[in-house]
Amino acid sequence: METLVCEGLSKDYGKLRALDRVDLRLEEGKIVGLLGPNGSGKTTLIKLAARLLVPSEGNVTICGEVPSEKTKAIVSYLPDRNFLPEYMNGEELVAMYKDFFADFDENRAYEMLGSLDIDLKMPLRKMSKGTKEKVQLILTMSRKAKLYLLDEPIAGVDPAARDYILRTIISNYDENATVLISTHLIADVENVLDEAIFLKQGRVILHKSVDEIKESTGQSVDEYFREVFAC
Amino acid sequence: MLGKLIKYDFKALAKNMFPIYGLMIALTLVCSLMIRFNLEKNFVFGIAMFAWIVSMSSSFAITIWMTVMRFYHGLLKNEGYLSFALPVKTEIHILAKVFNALIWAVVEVIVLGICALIFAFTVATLRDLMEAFKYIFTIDLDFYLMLLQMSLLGAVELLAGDCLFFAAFSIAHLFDRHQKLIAGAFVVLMFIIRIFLFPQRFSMEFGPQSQLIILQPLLYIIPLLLAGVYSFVTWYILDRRLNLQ
Repeated sequence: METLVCEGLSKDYGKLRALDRVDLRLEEGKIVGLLGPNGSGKTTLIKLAARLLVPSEGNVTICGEVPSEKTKAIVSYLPDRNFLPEYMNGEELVAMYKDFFADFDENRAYEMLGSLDIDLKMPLRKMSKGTKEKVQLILTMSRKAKLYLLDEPIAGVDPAARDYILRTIISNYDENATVLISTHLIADVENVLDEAIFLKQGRVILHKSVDEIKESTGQSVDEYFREVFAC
Repeated sequence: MLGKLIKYDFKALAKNMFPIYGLMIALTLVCSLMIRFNLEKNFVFGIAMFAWIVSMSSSFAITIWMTVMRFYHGLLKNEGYLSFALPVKTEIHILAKVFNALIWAVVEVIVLGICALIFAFTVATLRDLMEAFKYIFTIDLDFYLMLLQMSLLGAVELLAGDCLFFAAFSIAHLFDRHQKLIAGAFVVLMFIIRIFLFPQRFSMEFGPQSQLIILQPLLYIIPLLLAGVYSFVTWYILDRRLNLQ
């Protein structure tokens, strides 16, 4: 079954075309890397799927539905910034997610927060940048969603934290769910990816399985990416 | 979902508003106790009285500004990424912010009432209070009707004002910079336009029969209509033109 489908999807910001006639079909049970340099349209594509933006042309569907409050109930979205209320602590955040998301697994969240020794009474604003990002990821991955949209989940954290984040993603997503990870740190994520999408200037220039890329080019995804996007 | 949104918005504002209201009540108590014990000539009294006057006169503006900022930060800044990821319709988000603004206006009135009672019970003598209590029952019923109508009018004007601020910040979010300045300019512009388009005035009459009537139904209809228009503008931008940066 296809989790995410884009057909002729375009998005304009004034005169600037951020996404240009994108056609994509992502099947369930896959971890897909959305790879491209800065400004290639990765965040725009994710925001369109999360219904934070409305397409200029074409359409996007999640499990056959146009993005709406209905699809938001099955999409777990991690933006590329601190998006949680800074005055809240771990306990309050877990309670809030439980209140709003029917698919939120409170026990899973507490288990992961506990494994990191995060003080549940400490407000987010007092936590380090890396800890905040981990809390955000834990809450996002504690949902039993159909589609996870992770926008730059490992940018700005140290290598040890990256390993933790990637382990958390792999060990917590449902086998029938799809995970779309946007990043330009390809070497760090390529081992967990099933498929890779290369975005360049708003267009999809490649969508293949990681194995196919390795077989056809004889290179790792990171090496091939550097070749394709060489300045 | 509406109830949950209101609950979290209320909690978020309570962290800022309750300390402010606590300060107002404390200042009221200090000032009234100093009057009670004839310490008006004390230097501290001057400072406390000044702080009390400032806090009382600006409290409504602070309450409105804080509820507008909750809208701005909750929907149009980083927290907006969370808000719009919730399985909630855009109109429910707006409704929650409107209800929250009205609820805090009621809380504000209650706090002002508490301050008035503290002042009365500390400064006045028991005899004065008994006299005042008796006087309440001698006031004509129409006076209370007037109070009710004035309260209703205040509520619809507050509703229109909040919706205007929400629309202003929604429009301003379409621009990359100077968002608060643009929102402020829009509010002033709408205010001026309203004065020219709808120059209604209060018209109250006390008479032997009717005692008091606030004559013009337009006084209620216009702010309600404007609240509807501003809410539609807000909804359109948040639902169709949202572009969180």
